[in-house]
Amino acid sequence: MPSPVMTEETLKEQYDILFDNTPCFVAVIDRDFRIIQANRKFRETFGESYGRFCYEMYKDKTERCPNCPAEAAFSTGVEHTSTQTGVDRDGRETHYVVTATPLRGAANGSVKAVMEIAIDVTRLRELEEEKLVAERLAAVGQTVAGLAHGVKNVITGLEGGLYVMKSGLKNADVEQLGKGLSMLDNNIERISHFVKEFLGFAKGRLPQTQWINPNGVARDVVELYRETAARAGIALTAEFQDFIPEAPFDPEGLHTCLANLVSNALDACAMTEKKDARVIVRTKKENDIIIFEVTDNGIGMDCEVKKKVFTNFFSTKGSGKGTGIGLLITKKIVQEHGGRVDVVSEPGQGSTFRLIFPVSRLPNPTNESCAAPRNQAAPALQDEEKAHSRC
Amino acid sequence: MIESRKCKENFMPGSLLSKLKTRIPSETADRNNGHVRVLIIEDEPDIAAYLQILLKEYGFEAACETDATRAIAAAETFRPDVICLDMVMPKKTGLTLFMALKKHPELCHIPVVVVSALHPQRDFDDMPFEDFVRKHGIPAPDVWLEKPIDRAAFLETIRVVIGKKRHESPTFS
Repeated sequence: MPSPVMTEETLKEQYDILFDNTPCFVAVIDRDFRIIQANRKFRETFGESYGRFCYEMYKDKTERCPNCPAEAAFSTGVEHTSTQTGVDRDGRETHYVVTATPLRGAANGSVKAVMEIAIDVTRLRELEEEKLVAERLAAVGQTVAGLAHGVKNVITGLEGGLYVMKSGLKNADVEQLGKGLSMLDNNIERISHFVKEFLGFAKGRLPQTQWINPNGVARDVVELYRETAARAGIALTAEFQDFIPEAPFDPEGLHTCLANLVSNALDACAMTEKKDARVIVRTKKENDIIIFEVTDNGIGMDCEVKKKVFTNFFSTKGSGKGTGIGLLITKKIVQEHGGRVDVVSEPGQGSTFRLIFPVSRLPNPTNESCAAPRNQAAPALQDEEKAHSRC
Repeated sequence: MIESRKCKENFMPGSLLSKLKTRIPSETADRNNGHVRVLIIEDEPDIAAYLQILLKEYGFEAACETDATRAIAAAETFRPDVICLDMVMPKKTGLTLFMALKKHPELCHIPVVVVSALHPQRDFDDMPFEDFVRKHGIPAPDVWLEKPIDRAAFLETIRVVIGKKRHESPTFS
């Protein structure tokens, strides 16, 4: 049987090996925020650190970071996790998910130090950003393809007008001549309207993101369409989840998206002769995802239409009632917020459109001096803090 | 006047395509299409009127239906020899109508010429239109013409489709 001294030495050795070889950054921080222990990966990435401040090592700063998870762990005595942005010893921007765990001197004793375990998610973040860029480029490609598609009908109408007019001239048929001219007029007007809408879409506007109450925008849209719905005999109702925290959105962009969806839903209801036509606007937050939902029991869409609604200047509202740009704009704005649009629809039964925004992918507020949300901590300009405690 | 524009790529069975290519252009050709009835199902009134006037000028008997929900009833009443069908329409899409026509006991034999701004392959991402309908046990449309149409090709397509139908259907009068 090994002696107690040997066992202690062996354990110490095993502990050192485990600590040093842990494949993430591990640092133990005292109440002065000085590093009193760091593993090899930490030392290799940030340099020798014993006795130096953690914010100095992680971020090359001279003062504590806002929303520091270690500070939260010291003050609350429970574990905190947050996403942080720092710089490595070569000055490269690095993103981490940091978990700060309080270390107590004895059972139920005061917190003497905090162990910070950080995982480098820089590559993950880069991939997320690359995906966002790819999604935006794909949207541009689809828009260009959609423009060509939308123009085809107008060209056919113009060719038709010209043909009918020539035919009227040839046959000295004044009525047919007038018909041809009217067809030309209609389609020139359509293409003018179409081009103006497309230019507006292509030029767009830079999202002006600020902390807003998501329910507030949804409420405005419901109020905007309340009278229109009432006149059409359609029940427009709101079902908003209480206490959805403020989040960074472009309020005008979000308003446009919801207005497009509600307008489409009312049109879908108007195409049916249902006596109980209804449109419901819902908001909810599930697992850090904010969802806006517009449901109607209108005409619904078959698979052919569902596949096209977001990819083209595609409209099934009938001649002169739409260019199909609304959902394209909606998709663009939602993508700019890092979100996506889902649709569920059955012909004759109705449709549900969902705007799905993971909070972690929402853009930073455009104006740095924007007021912080009233119901959560101010975001650091560089950090995307999502501190939460696990008691 | 003969169209100078190159004939657009259209989807149609190979034998029919080759037959058609040998006969285009012929917009000025035979106008004696005596009593061939064409039903145009197209929600755009201008395009519907255009095709109707064009077909009438070339001797066809043409009718339009701009409301897709009334298209089946229109076909039952008009009893066309060929149907020109748009794809993107409000209330009921061309795909739904095509499936309904091909399942209709009295209308299923009527050749369908799709006239659409959609392309049967490029614009159906998951599955080309032809494969989609075949998956549902329905034959593909006889011809697919992409808008804007080539007039000569359109007129010739109608003639060829009718001729094919007469050839394949001895009961056709």
